[in-house]
Amino acid sequence: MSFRASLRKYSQTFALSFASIAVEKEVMIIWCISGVINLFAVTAVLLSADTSVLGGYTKPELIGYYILVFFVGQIINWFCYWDVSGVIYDGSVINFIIKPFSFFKKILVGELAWKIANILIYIFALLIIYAVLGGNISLSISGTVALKLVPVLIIGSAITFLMHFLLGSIAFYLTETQFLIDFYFIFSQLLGGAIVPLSFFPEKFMPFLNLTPFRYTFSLPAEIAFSRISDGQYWMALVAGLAWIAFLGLGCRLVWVNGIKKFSAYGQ
Amino acid sequence: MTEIKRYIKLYWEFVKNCTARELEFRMNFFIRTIVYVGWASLTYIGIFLIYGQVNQIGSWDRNEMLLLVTVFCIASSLFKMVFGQNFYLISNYIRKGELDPILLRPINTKFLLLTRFFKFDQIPRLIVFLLLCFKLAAEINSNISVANYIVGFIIMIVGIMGILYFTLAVFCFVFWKPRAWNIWEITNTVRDLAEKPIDVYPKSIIAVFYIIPLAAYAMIPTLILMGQATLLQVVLAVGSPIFFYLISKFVWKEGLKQYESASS
Repeated sequence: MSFRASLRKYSQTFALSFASIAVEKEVMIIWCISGVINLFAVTAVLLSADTSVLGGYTKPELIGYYILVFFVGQIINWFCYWDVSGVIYDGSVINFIIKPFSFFKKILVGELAWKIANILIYIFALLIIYAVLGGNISLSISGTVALKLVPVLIIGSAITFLMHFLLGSIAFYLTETQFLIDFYFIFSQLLGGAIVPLSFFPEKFMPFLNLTPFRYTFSLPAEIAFSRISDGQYWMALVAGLAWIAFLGLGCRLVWVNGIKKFSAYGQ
Repeated sequence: MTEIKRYIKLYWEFVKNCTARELEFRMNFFIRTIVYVGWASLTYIGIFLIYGQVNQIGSWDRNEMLLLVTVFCIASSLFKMVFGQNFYLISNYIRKGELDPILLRPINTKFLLLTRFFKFDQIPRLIVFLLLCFKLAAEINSNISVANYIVGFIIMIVGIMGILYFTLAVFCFVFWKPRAWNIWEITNTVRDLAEKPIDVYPKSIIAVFYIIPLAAYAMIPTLILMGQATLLQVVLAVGSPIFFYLISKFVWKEGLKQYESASS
């Protein structure tokens, strides 16, 4: 199939997903409102702490950290686990096996449309947050930092997507996989720096924290934005992130291809 | 009295039915228990990490904060055990237009909707939190008595009832906007605010925590265990559920007028 035909096919998928957003706008707004409420709660706790510097961050920096994590989360988070495991459990994955239509690309493009709309809503939310908390926030991102952030966000996004896809594909082998995604969320929140910055952890845990893929999701963008890593460490982090993408990509392929081989369903 | 007996008997049947169902899937039950413990551990690890950097948040030291979180977890386990799953189903029934078979049954509709499914898998977690609560409360307040536990528990139940009516009132939004299936996200997020001490929030919004009964849900029971609650706090905590009971009753009635059935 030509590249043009392929592009047309997936751009149609994108357009369809984008159109469905108009129907589900309340859902997106509700997620956003919940995120903002959480952010205000965290801010209130931080401002009432009895020390001015926590884990190497001043209070305004820490509030900036959580705002960044709040926004970065919309860029890097994917939720395709449910789509992938859903089509496997209900057998509709067969539609993708026998048609010239990549399920992987369909999920990617479909969720991308949601992500773009979501980011627009969150930009609006950020404006409100800045209007309310402005004086308490220390977060400024220069052009150089923004450029550095682009590959990091792409890497974080790819890691999260592949993790979801991998965990969803395990549905080929197990009848219950929800617990896997639950554990994934627990570890990604804690070890990714969404609950507290990784600098809050005792020093002896740092080598382990740097090894996990979760650091490349929330923490690394924040470390760059607050100049917590040197240029050398930045390049090392990019290489490590890419290695994780390669590893997870390979894992997805193996699990999916072998899963398809053992998959059985009623004809449709 | 006969009517109350009938409802107790009915509820007991619901519990038996749900328990039998849970026992059919023992492995699932076991895994879910581990996942719940994992989620709770996240909060406790977070507290340890934060208190590795600070001595106090507001007027709360680490052990007091741990007690607050534990009391919150007990209240949440009770809430989820009795009502939790039912709320998700309510929004589904409304959204899909499947509420009418329930409306036509010869029992109180809200009782049936709110209590039909009992979450048996909250029990192990509840036991762990209760043990932790006894340990922490005894460490913080050496003069703690049975009365502290009883009064604290009563206030917590009042808080749970308040949160129940608050959640029901918010869920009725689905009558007007049936596509807002994730409305539970708002109520869960608001409920989670009770996990933090109310005195850390700006003074201008503290009243909100008494209007929505967040204070009674976890903080006031914790203060009672610590021997630090004031009479005013207790009185305010008791008033709020009555207010939300009336609100939820009104919103439910208005919402039902919007409801459209999908059955023949």
